[in-house]
Amino acid sequence: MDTSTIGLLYAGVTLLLLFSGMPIAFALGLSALVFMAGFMPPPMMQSVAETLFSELNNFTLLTIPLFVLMGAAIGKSRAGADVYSSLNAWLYRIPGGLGLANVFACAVFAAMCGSSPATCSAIGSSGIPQLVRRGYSEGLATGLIAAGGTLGILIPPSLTLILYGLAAEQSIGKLFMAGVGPGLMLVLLFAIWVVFKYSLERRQALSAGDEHAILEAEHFSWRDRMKSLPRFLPFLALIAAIMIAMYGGWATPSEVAGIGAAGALLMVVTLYKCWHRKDMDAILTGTIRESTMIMMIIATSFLFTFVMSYLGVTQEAAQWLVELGLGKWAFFLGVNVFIVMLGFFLPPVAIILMITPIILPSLNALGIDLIWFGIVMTILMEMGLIHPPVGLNLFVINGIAPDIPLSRIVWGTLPFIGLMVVGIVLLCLFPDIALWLPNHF
Amino acid sequence: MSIPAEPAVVTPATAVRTVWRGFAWLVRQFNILTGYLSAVIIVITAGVVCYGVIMRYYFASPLDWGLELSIFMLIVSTFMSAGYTQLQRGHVTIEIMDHILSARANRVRYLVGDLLSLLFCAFVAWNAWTYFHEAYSEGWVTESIWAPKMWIPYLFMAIGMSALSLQLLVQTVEALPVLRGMFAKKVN
Amino acid sequence: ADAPRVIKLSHQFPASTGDGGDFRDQLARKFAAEVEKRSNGSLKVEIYPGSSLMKTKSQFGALRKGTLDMSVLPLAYGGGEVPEVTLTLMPALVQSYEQGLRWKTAPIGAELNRILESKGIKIITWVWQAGGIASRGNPIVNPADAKGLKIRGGDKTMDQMIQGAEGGAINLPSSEIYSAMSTGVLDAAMTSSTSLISYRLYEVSKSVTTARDKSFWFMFEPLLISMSAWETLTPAQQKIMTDVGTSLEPFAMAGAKADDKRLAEVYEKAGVKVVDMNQAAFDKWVKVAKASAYKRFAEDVPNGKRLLDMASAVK
Ligand code: NA
Ligand code: NA
Repeated sequence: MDTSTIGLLYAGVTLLLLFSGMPIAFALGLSALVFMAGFMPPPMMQSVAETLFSELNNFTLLTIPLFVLMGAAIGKSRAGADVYSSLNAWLYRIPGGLGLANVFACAVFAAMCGSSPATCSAIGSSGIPQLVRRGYSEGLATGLIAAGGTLGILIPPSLTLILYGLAAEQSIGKLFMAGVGPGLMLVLLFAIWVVFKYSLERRQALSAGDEHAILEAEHFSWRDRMKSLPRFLPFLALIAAIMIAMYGGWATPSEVAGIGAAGALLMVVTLYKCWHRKDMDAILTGTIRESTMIMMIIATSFLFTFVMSYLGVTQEAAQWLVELGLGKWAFFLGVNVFIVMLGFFLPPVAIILMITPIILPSLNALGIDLIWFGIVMTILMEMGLIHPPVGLNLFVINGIAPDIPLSRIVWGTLPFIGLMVVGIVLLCLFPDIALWLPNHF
Repeated sequence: MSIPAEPAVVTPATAVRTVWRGFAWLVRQFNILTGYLSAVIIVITAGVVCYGVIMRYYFASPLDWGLELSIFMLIVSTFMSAGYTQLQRGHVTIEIMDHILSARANRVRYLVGDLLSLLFCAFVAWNAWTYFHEAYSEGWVTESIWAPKMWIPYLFMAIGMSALSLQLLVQTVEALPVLRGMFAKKVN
Repeated sequence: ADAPRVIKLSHQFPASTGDGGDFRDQLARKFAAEVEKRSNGSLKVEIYPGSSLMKTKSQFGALRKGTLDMSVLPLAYGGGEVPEVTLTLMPALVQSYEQGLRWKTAPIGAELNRILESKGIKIITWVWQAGGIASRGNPIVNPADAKGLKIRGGDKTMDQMIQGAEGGAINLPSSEIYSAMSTGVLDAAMTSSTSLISYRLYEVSKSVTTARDKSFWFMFEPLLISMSAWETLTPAQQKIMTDVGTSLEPFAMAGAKADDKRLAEVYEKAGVKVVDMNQAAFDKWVKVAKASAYKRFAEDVPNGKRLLDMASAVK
């Protein structure tokens, strides 16, 4: 059987298993196992446990459970509700104000964390319930957190930009700088959409005439606002501590996760007095369920990737694309479509490692700026994190908010994928959005 | 991985039921306990990371065990709580088919899904035990100065995947239509 | 004709394009092309660069098990499974490329071959590579310069030596070196000349100590084949493998030496202070290493003392 047939078969079997009702983690794993048994030498079957283990044996992954803990400590205690009610007091006049606050929170968090699922989880744990409580549709609430979370790999520090930099032999410092502008651009696009969608939902609720949380009349005086101000302080202190630790040379971006988790836990225990068994139970069980669910998906999707790489599916497809001998923009478009398709199944790290070496010579020959391309590629991979069938951020959200069906999350996220496409078009028209900063500093 | 299809003739059905319920209870309790402990491990990991940062930055005496201990604890917590997460049905599934198929078809689909999951997890568990055995008998360590034994995380991986498999087994058996009513027990 | 026997070769280094780029990837590519040619297409070597098949740390075990056929690999990475191989990144044990290559025909080479083959791995091409130290502050030339600094040695024996010099040995994944150096979590990092270039540490360093004169940092980074793959080859194919492997040793040495020079050029161009290590400084490191890393190796590894003596006997 030739490689492309195997590749299609692999995708087909995986889809079948994913839709069988199996947990995603086990569906990816089983599909890999089946193809190992069918198309790889027998000894490979003995390397399954080691392959899963090797993926988790990685310090940068530690950020995920730790940031999940941080998110759960805030979200499952009164702290999250508290800070959102003070935020609301300040922003209630702005249509979609709280949604905007969440988008900005994701961006701030992305500047402290190099991982997208971690960003998503840390902000979403309190953000989603608070947004839904105030009448945002579940689709909008989950969509904006899922999409906002993907900024984790675009706004520096970024794990995937580091790996791209190593693979493409580009300056990591310049890549990080190049991520800032496009990161802000996406924040802006997301913000516009949130305001628009919120207003739309409000208008719909108005015309329906029923009671709806979105229509609840609220009023906060300046006095109320000022009184709520001190409640921000512990959060600002936590953010400041993390920023100082990271940019002041105390800790690496991964270690910052430990500081954030310990700091958040300390905060809810001391300031919010959440030390009773019930409070702790909620935080601990919430953390473990979500963190384990994500980590198992990450581990088995590496097994899935390993099989795909071993069978040469991705590499051969990339090679085929290269050998088409397309012109600059046709090739660029082809690569874009290709990365989106890989994003159906593969995590960003795998995409970078497998295709960068193969497409790099063509990118060079066609005169495509590799720093700029790294940013475009990152946005494409962000899309992969939020589009089905396998989109890690979608699953993270599903873990945080198990009551919201995955299909609703997917529909809510769809517009943000469109916004990312708009972002890429803007980057093509105005490369300086990415390149101005690295070229001037 | 064998599913007790029909109770053996020599044993009264009630005895099988009692033994099975006891077994199912044990599996559940074990997974709940290790689930909690795994969460505590994540909290401790946060502490270890902070301690490492402080020792390096303030006392200029970096730990040579901090990084690896943190990674190992992460691995232990992930695998040791996989069964708990399964107990809570916390491993995310794609549920879009739920609305398309009938309730009956969905039950069958989920049963098949659980069986296939059991297949995968049992295989990984078995494979992890062989890896543990290899690491233990060959005395593998990591390549650092601290050089912790590799069998320790492998052992927890093997135990965790086994507990997860047993949890899947319990859930599968209890969902089997043939056995419903016989083994059925409320899931907390 | 029959379908060719496909050999999977994995390594962790960036893919090279054309004639430029990482010489370790080029070595793999030249090997693949030559083996394919000489075997009339009965062997086909598929290269997976940049850890695109498996994790860096998984490669050694995979070679042993036969789940990976070939790899270009810092052998010391296998030190957790086969403690003897730690010798191949022992500080100051090898002092020049020529001396390193002479291991091949000396008793230590035969012993290393024997140990590795009993563990399921065979050496195809002998490759040594020197390295240096990038620092955010003053250059680290003498052991006294390392005192109190946070340094990533990247390897157990290097870490032991750093501790011997009263420095703080930092254990950090390679993907974090750049950010750690830029913020000051790390004061200095030791690694091969090629990696010092490809990690772009010149962007975040003030000084660098090169391997142009003396270096205590010589790493054995051979092209390896799994014994289980080896045993499936015909004697003729095996001969092709060893012949091609040996024929590439001069290329590897030239590549490594060129990178030692290129390191100096690249860092100089980036405005980094470039210094070399002279004999006097080197001798001081030897003293530190013997009191720390060598001592521990002799104590902890079976036959460690004998292996050290055999290696030291190569002049
Ligand atoms: Na980030
Ligand atoms: Na996807």
